Amino acid sequence: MTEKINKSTSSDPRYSRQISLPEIGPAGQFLLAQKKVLVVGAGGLGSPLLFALAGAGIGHITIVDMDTVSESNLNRQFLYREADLGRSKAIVAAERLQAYHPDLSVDAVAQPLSDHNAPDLIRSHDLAIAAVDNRRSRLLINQYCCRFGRTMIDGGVRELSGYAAVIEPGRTPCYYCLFGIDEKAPAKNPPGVLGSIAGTIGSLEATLALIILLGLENPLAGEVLYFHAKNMSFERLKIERDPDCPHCAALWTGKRIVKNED
Amino acid sequence: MKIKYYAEISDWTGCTEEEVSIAIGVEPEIPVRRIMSVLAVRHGDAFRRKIYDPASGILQDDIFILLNGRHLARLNGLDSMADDNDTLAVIPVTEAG
Repeated sequence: MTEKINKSTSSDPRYSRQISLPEIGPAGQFLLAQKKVLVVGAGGLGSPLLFALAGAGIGHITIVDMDTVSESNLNRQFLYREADLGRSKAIVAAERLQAYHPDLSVDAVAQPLSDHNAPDLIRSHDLAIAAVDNRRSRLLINQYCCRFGRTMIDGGVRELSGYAAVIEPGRTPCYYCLFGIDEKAPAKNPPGVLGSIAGTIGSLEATLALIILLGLENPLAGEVLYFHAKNMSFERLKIERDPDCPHCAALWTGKRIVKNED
Repeated sequence: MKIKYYAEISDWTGCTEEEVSIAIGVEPEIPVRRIMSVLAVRHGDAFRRKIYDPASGILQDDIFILLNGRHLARLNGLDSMADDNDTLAVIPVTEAG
């Protein structure tokens, strides 16, 4: 990793267009190269965000996805090709990222996220990104991000719209505060979604992750950003914490932040 | 009070935001259920079919309503009380990835 970090902080032309940004510079590039990011879900949201994180020079990415590539994925999940049908998404995604950026350190976990593996996975990364298609997984990521004081980036899509959010336990309402509601049985037919909408929201998630990892101010503190393609609108939804939240209430003492230790 | 509609909900209401007056002084606060009934009359069939139907009292499964940023289910459901200073947000459950 040291060699990779040194390379990324020098004049590596791969990063020259972003190192020139005042928000990044050589110090920010060095910071990104030291970061470990957990991405749960390598589908429509995961495809753009994984490439964006790898391209930005994140040091290590772990990809969690239990699914295999199916034909209905191919309209939006550009990590995959027809020849990948039936293969593990996590493994193929890791191969693609490695080919895209040979210096990247990347792990594939071809298992569902569960109470068994989530604690170690979340604790061992700097930040977790939910790129999943169900509430149960989002609640699980949220639960352990709250426990270990990790920031969670969340996003979701439906038809021609989607949302993105940043959850900083103890500083913003958590996912459970907002959507900790019993999930109904999944619909027989998953909702339709335009592939480019997943691209839009996945890219927003990646951008939010990079902002947080660079130590910049959370631009969505206490808000969820909704995008609707039909009128090309971005609307902010103000959210409030649940004072009785079983996951994050203990992290709040008035406005003071109490951070969990590893 | 202010009502805000997010994502495709605004397709069904024809607006992203509107006001409903609760007549403070007569009845300082009323249940969200009654506000939803007023909105169902105002917006007609699409609202009743896709969001809330006053006749059945059913809020569709794929709709979330937030009162001042808190989910109704974490408050008192459609019986949560609201006044003219409050904001209701109607959002679609958006969980695909």
